Order: sequence, then C-alpha cells, then structure tokens
Amino acid sequence: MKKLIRTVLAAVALSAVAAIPAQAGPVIDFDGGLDTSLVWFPPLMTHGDALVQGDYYVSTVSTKAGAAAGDLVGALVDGSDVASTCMSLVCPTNNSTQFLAMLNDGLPFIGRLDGAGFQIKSVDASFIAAAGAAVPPLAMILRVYGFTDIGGVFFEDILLPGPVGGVLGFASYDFSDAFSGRSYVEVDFYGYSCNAAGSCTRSADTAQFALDNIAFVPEPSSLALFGLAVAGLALARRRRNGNA
Amino acid sequence: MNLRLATLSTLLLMGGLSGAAMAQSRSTYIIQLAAEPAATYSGNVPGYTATQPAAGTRFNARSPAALAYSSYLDSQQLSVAALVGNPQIVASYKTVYNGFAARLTAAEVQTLRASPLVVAVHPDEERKLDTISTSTFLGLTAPGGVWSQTVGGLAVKGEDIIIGVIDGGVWPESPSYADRVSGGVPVFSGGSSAYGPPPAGWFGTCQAAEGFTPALHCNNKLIGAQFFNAGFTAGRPASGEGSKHWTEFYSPRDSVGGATGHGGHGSHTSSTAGGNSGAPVTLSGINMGAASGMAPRARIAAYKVCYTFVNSAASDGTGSQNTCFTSDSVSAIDKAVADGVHVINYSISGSQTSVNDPVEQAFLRAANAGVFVAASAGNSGPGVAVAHVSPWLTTVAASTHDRSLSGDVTLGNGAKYSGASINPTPLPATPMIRAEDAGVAGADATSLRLCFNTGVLDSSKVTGKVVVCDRGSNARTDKSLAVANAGGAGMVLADNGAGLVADVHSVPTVHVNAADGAIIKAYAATAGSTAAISAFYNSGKPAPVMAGFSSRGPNQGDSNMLKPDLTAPGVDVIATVTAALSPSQRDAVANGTLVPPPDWASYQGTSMSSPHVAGLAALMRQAHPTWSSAAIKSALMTTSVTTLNDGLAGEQNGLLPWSQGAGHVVPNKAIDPGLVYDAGKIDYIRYQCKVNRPAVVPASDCTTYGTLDETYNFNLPSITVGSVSGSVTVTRKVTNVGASSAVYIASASVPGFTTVVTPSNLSLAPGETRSFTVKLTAAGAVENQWAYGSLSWTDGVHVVRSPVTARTGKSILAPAEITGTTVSGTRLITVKTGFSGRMTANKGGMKAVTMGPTNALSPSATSSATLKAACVAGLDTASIKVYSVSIPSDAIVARFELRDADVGTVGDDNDMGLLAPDGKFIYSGNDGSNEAVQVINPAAGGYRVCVVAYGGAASMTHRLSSWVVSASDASSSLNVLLPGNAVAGGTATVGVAWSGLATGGRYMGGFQLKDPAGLVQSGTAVRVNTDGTAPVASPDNGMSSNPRNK
Repeated sequence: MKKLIRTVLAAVALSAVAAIPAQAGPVIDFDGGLDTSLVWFPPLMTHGDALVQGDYYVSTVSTKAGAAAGDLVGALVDGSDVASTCMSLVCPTNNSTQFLAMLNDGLPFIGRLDGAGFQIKSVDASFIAAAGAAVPPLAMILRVYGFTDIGGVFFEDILLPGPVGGVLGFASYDFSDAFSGRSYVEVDFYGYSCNAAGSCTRSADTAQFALDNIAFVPEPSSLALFGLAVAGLALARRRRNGNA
Repeated sequence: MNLRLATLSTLLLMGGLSGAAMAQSRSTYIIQLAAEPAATYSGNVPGYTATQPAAGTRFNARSPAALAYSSYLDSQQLSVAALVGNPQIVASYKTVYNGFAARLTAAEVQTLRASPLVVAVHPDEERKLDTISTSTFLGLTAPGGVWSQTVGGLAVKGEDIIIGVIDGGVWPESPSYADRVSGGVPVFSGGSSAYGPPPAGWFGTCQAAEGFTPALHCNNKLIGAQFFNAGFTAGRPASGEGSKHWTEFYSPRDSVGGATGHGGHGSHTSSTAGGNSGAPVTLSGINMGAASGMAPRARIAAYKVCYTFVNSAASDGTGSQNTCFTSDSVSAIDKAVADGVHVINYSISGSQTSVNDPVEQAFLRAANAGVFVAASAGNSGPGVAVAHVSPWLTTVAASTHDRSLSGDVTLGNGAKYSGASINPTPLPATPMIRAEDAGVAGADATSLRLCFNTGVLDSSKVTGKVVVCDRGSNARTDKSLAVANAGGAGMVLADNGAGLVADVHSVPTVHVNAADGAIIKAYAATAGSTAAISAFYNSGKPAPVMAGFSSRGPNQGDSNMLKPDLTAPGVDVIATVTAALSPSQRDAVANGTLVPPPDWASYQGTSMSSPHVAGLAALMRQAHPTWSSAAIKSALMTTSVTTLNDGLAGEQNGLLPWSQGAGHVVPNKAIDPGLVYDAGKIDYIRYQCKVNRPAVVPASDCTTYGTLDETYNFNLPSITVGSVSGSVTVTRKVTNVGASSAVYIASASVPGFTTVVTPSNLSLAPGETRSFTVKLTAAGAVENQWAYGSLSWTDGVHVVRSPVTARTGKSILAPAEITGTTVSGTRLITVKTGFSGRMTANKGGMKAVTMGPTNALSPSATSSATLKAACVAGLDTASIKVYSVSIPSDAIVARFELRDADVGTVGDDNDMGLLAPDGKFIYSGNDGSNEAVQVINPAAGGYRVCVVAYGGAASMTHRLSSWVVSASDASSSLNVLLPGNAVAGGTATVGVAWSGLATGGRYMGGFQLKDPAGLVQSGTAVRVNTDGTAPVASPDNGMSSNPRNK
C-alpha cells in the first residue's frame, strides 16, 4: 500500500517544479497551495493519504496491526473554526490558520517529492486531548526521527504539555543544532501519550497531536539532484517502519 | 403540666367573654373518635369484618366491608354529634382518621370531651390562619422555624431583602403591599409605619403611567414598579385583532382579572414571595383568615413584562390572550439587577433544551451579580418538558400542600360525593339536570356539555336547578357563570382527569372527580333527581404530592444535569390578585378616579411554586448575606425531603428526581445545611465553554478559565450521569458553612452500581472547601435504564443529601447529535468504547426535509396526557391531526418538526407528540409552534406523529417537517471515518464530514457505530440547516402557569 503511495508521489514529483528560495527556508503551513488530491476524504486524513505543499509531502499512516485504507488517522482543521470542528476533542485554540491534526495514534512522515535530503529547523506542535480525558502536565513525548540517505537514524524528543486551564495551545519548537544540522530524506513524528505516572504509549488511540509550520533550513539546490538517487533507500526503510 | 396550661388558657379566654358571647361564638373543631378508621380497622367490632388492606395491597374504600364499616362510623359520629344537639357538620373523616369537624361553642366542646366515645377535640387552626397556609406547611411559623430566628436582632422574615418579580405587574391596592400596620393588619393609611426607607443599594424606580401614580402606589413595601412593553407593542395594531385588550394597562399595574381578564398572576406571585403577613383574605366574600408571603418583611419590586391582547379565537373563550415577550423579559432582568434586587422570581416559561436562550443568558449575568433566580419548571407535565435548564438558576417543580378545601354533593338517592369546593353557602336539596339535557334548541353538543357561557343553556330548563357540567376548554369559573346566567342554582363540575380545583364560582359548586361525575350524571338523568351542596370545609390531606401538571425531566438539554432542581407548593395557592372590573371601572382606575378593591384567588402552577422558593431564598439571603446563589440553591436542595407517591407510572412518577428534583423544600433545615456545593462565575464560564461556547463573551474566557471536561462534573448538589460505559468518576467539592470544624462521613448507593466516594470522610474547618469523587461502576444495572440513588454526607448533626441518577450506556458512547449551518463541514468527535477491536458503522444522508401538506385544525388546549390518549386512539379530531409514519428496519434517525415559520397565523401554539410502536410517547409542548421530536436508532414499525392545535387562530394551519434517515440513504454527502481499532475502556476519534449541500435547506443524516460483533451500539443524528436558521430549539414566550384555570 505504501509502496503504491510512494509511486504516486514519485509521479507527482516529476511534474512538480518548484524553486527553493535561497534565503527564506521552505515551510509546510497547510494553508495556501496545499494539494489534497491524494486525500480520499478531505479534510479527513486516512491511512495512506498524502498532502503536498511546495516541494514537500506529508503522508499520514496508521502503524496499527491490520491498518487498512479508510482508517482515520488525522484531519486538516481550520483553526478559525476549532470550536465547531473539534466538537468533542480538545484542540489547540491559539492558531487561526489551517493545521494538521493527527488522531488515533496516526503517524505523519515528511519528505521531499524529489527524494532529496533536507534539514528540518522547527515545528509548531500541540497535544490534542480526548473530551473528558484527565491529561497530566506532560501530555506527550513527540519523538521526531530523521533518516539520512545512508541509513542513519537520529531522533529528538519534543515534550508537549497538557492543557492549562482546560485549554491547549500550539508552541514553536526549534530542533537542536545537532539535529537540524543533518540532512534527512525523511522525518517521522511518533507521538506517545503519557499518563500521570509518566508512562507513555501509542497504542490506545490517545496519541493525538497537531502540527503546523514545519520549517526547513534553506539548502543549495544542487543537493536536490543527489537526493533523487537515494529515494529508493527511503522506500525500503518505510516498509520496515510500517510495522513499528 | 400541659393540661394545666391548656386549662388556664381556656379560662383566660372564657374570662374575656360574656356569657352570651360564649353561647353564640362558634368555631370549627375537629372531633376525633375512639374507633379505628377504615384503612386501619382490624375487625374488632362485632358484626363488622376487617377492612385494613393486607400487606402489599391497597385499601379499597368501595369494598362491601369498608362501606359497611364506614356507615357504622357514620352512625357513631352522628350519635356523638347528637350529644350537643346536632351542630353543623363541616366534615366527616372515616378513612385515615375517624372523626368529624363541626361548628361548636366552647360549652359544647366541654360536653364532647366528657364523652367516652371521644378521644380528642382540636380547634381547627388551619382554617383560620392558614388560608394561605403554605408558610405554615413549610414550617416557617413553627417554634424554632426560620421566622422565629434572628440575624442582627432582626427576625429572618426577609428584612431589607429586595425581591424582584418579573411577571404581569402588581395590584397596589392589596394589603400585601401596604407599608403601614394597624393592629397587626397591613394598612395604607393610619396605624404606624412598618418599614423604613428602601434598603441601601436600591436604585430602582416607580414609574408613573396608566392607573399608576408613584406617590399613591409605591411605598416602603412596594419600593419599585416598572413596566417593559417595547417588545409587546412592536408592530402591534392600535385596534382590533391583536391590539391591547381593554383589561390591560401600559403601566406597572397588573391587568384586570375576573372572567374576561388575564390579570392577577403578577400580584399572585409577588405576594406569595414577599407579601405582608396579616393581610386579610376574602375569597368570594368568605373571610379566609390572613395571608402571608414567604418572606413577609421583604421589599417588593415589580417588573411587568406580560400583557393581554385581543384574540377573538382564544381557546379559553375570553377573546383575549396574555403573552410575555423575551425581549421585554431581558429588559426587566437587566433593570432588576441594575436596581439592586437580591432575588428574582420568574414564573414564565422558557427553553427546554438550551441555555442559550436570551432570558437564560440574562439570568447567567444576574447570577454572576449575586442575584438568586427562581424559575418555574413549566406546566406541561407529566410529559418530559422541564424548562429553564440552566445550572445558574433554581428550577422549581410544583406539588401539593395539606390544605384541602372540600365540599359535598348529596344526591336525592342518599349518595354523597366529596370534591373540591370553596362554596360558602350550603344549597339544600334542589332539582338537578345534566347540561346535556339543558340546551336551547340546536345547541352545539360540546359547548353544551362544557357549559359554555354563550347562551347554550336554556333558562327554562335550568332555572332553580343544579347543573352537571364537564371540565375542559373554557375556564372553570366560566361554566358556573353560564349556569348563573341561565338561572341555575348550583353546579356539579365533573373532572376530566386534570385534577380537582377549588374555585370561587358564581353558584354553589363542587368539583368532583371523573368517576364520581359519571355516577352523578347517570343519576341526574333520572326523573326527580335532586342534589344538595354543602358549605366548604378543610378536610386536610397528605402532602406534598407532585402535581400532575408539573413538567418532568430528564433535562432535554443536558442529560448530565438534573432539572427540575426541587419542588415547592404550587397547587391551590391562595394569594392576592386583581379585581374584576367593568371597562368603565377599568378606565376610571386608569385615570385615577377609582380606587379598586384588592382581591384574592386560588391558583395553581409552577408559577405559584417558584415564588415560594424566591421568598425562601430571600430569607436565606438575609440569614447568610455572604452566600452565593448557588450556595442558597444547594442548601435548599440538600435539606429537602421526598414527596409522597403520586402513583404515576414509569419515569413520570413523582418520587423520581425527574419530577421532584432533589425533593420538597424544608426551609428550617436549609437555613443550616452544614455543607454547600458552591459554584460561581468561573464554573458557569467553564460550563458554557463546554456546551455553549459561541455564547461565551469574551471568547478568551474559555482560554483563561478553561473548559469543563464533562457536564456531570459541574458542581451541582445533584449528580446525574446520562451514560456510564463501564464506570465513571464524578468530581464535586463541598464547603463547610457551619460555625465549627466538622468531620463528614459519606454514604452513597445507586442500585445496579457500585458507588465509591473518595475520600469517604472529609474533615472541614469552617469555610473550608474540599473536593471528592464519586466513582460509579456498573454492577448489574439494566442497560439504558436510569437508576436512582443518593449520596449523603453527615456529621451527626447535618445530613447533606444529593440525588444520584445514572444510566449505563451502550459499549460505544458517541454524541447523540451533531449540528451545523454550512454546506460542508467537519466534526471530530471522541467516542468511548467498552471493547477492544475494530468498530464499523452504518450511515445515511444527508437528506433534505420532507414537507407535509398544509393541514388546518381548531384550537383546543390539550394536555400531554390527552394528546397521548388521542394519539393512541389514532383518529383525527377537530384539534388533533394524526400522521402515520412507517420506520424501516435499517433506520438510523427519525425527526419530526413544526415551525413557527410554517403556521398560518403568527403566535399560533401547536404542540406535538410521537407515539412509538411500543407505546412510548415523546412530547414536545413549547409555547409557540417550534416543536420537534427525534428518535435515534428507532425500532422498525408504525409510528404516529400527533399534532395538536393548542391555541391560536380559529383555524390553525401547520405543515409537518419530517426526515426518516436509513442506511439505504447513504451517499457521499456524508462521510464517517473510524479509527483502525479501539481499546476497551478507552477513547478514540471518529471523523464526520458532510459536503455538497445546497444553501437554503434543512438536511439530516445520521450514523450508527457497531461493535466488533456488528451490533449497533450508538446512534448520532447529523442536522445541518443551510437556510440561515440555527438547528436548535427556539426559546419560548408565555407564562407557564395557567391562571385561566382551564
């Protein structure tokens, strides 16, 4: 299934021509220019759907045993209408633009359409809570994995707080120089929701979080050509990861 | 010792009277005889077998043994009465009390006391004082009762507390509103001043307008009188249909009463809450003793918002109708809070589903301003129709009190029937006739049977006779007026199942129950039939019992919140009203040339119970000036007692919290409750952020203060959980309002659940607040059926009791409804699951509304019970249209609506109900015609939707909106996406998205979630109105009492 998606993505990549600005880094903000043609039931995101913005894609998958097409793993949420959309879900309220909500332990992973390497700089993130859930001050560990073109795997953890006064909000998280200094061909966001005892899991449909403004370090366009060569490596790794 | 004192007082009393006075002064005494009454008679009198019921069975007063024994008791009572020369008997008791009441002199009392047959002789105190006996019934007057307590040297009677009454105005001539006193009686001139200037913090005014002059009509008791009619007058014609009725005043003055007017309601409610004590009451020329409000020293501020207009088709036959516009109410609430009232009474109906009603929102602010608000639960019972569902106000149901004004009708065949009556003049045996047999040629049979005052009774047949009339449609007093106009001598009013009411009638009248009425009618149809009607007497009765008309819960806006909150007296409440005036007299009052008399009347309704609670809240506010409104409400609720069984079946039964809330108020305990469940502005914000987020102003409050996680965690003194999946943990906090530290120990139980309170005991210093949880775990509870239990905290002195009501849900809990207003939309919902594995779904829709044809009906005020009966019968009547609907086996949701937008005449009041194949009846009885019934996961089969034209134009038209959404209606316009798996006891997110709808429509879809076995476990309706209307129930207008006493 994922292989199919990737093949489709590769086809998109061939037709996508985008210049990377030399100075301002690219950003996935889920707003203008977002392509949802690879989403079955937009704005709902199901297992295997993909969003495309500029040179980048964000694919959403379920890592559950028996995951199937149509399983709900996320949604694009209009931040100006959170109260309606997040009807019985506690979503962040301090972002009036569209953002990606990952639901039911869903996993988003990002990459370039051309398969080239990229450096991730920062991300806005927030925990999303089920209605009525008792959420501890440390609500989630969001473990961000970077995969290098030669098979290296690095990670950095983002600690997402629980609600303050019943309300959740986005915060911006800068990756460390060490993490953002490396070039990755794929970055994955694994959410682990935590209980009051500090035990964190991603198997109870409670690992839910919101992402926005995924910012990248500007990079020389010459690297893009090199990146195409390693796309196959990434494909091989994704299949392995699919059963995580 | 007691005997000596009694003897002494008797001697003192006698010493003050001349011998002649002694001989002639008669009072009513109740004489108790030695033998057992019938209900407890065990068979020890030779020749009479036992009549007491066996364990588990009910007493049968009509059994041959009971009749025989009762006649034996009669003979005993007569032989006792003969000892003092057969005095006037006012009452005879044989069922639960063996004795009789009679008019006796003091000497006769002594004679009777000497008889071995007599156990005791009691003076009839009820009749003298308690005319308006509810203050006594509530214990306020008892030794040690609230009124005998003092705060700062002042008795707790509402001193310096201002009660704002938002209603139909005030009749300032009533002594209830006088500010001077002479000989214990309130007076307007002479005597001495009874009140100082208005309390500090009062900023209200007294408005000069038609028939209302501040210098004459306001004083230091009635400190404010204002009127708000902008909403009423907007677009109103100056004359003819719809215009202001001649009985009305555009001023603070309550409108004219009597047979044609609708006035009196505002005066009744305000005098019940805070009217003076010692106000002499005269009903129908009978001196009934003295009246008192619940807080007799409180000051009253009247805010008039209800007005009468010309409606020639009014269903009560008066040619006029009274209404209260929300806009005017909000103005009044606004002003009242600004004026500095402490307490507001609101005996006007309200939304049954939404806290977003403007009036509710205004009351939110009032509560935040520290104002206690009492509101009536509504008179649509025993249907599920409780109104005023906001947590920040106290919603009051209605129940009986122990006064029972009764009269007897004795037929020529010797049979005697008792009923409700305040007839002062006994009528000797008089020829009688059925109304059916007394018509003019060609008279309409229904009008005749109901004794319409339209000339249908033939005076040549009626003159000098007792007429038997049926209850229904026109005012009860209109019927006796019709009899009087035709020359009749008396009336027997046969009930229609709505319950007996003692009214002031134009001819001697007894109101008997339907069964007795049928027997009497059968007899009246025979040749030579006669009837005698007794003078009324107070028979007393067990109380409180929930009134059938009191609207029941569950709360249709939030199944996790109990409504009503509590109950108080609301049946046969006597208080001041407005006088019946002619048009010319009315004009003379309006221009100030006539001072009208005060008047009194007995009303019933939750309109009458609400001001009782408002008055009690005034006492509480005086006693505890620092308490919040929520604390006062908590004190009233946690110290209440249960009512007596009203015998109604199922969830309508009066013992259940749906009917009585926490229970019947006990003010003497409420004043010292021990603990309170407090709440305030932040709690209300957090609640609104949960259920009514768009109304939160400023929106940032939801960020600042957060959102309540579950509405069952709102800190009410009641616990209600609408859907327990496995278990649920409810949080509460209590504050020690006692004077000393105390350790409270919890006890809690709910049938079918294990109930664990943590911690199970709380040590609280004075003023300290502590939290606790109540964990309910299903243990044998029947799925989807409510279980009723309680939680009590006690320190050995106080018992702080809360009703706990819980229902287990299916193994998937999902919201019952999703609403939207846009052509496409997304909703992410949290569902709770009781299993692990993959769930599946059925979906249907979106589907546009199906509009029925335009149908016309004639108005007839019809109770929910009557509508149900008609719906069961399944036949159209002049006022009821029956629609048959077939629901398929794969149905997901069915909904039926009426809309104000679809009726023929603005203001028409249509109601509706849905009869399911299993006989369950869902009722929607708002004022106006915005009605809806909805069933999720309906069982397949034949349903009936029954629409009743309750009141309005002579020909009322409506169109039924319907949707029946089934799985075969699935389309891409509604997508429902599910999680890959679920975890037992966990939650997961389901995504719902609709798209492709046209603007200007009303759409409905729905989905069912199924467990891994494929069984449907939840149902959710998806309602989207793209026509600019919000898909929520609309607020209502109109009073919730029934002052016309139909």
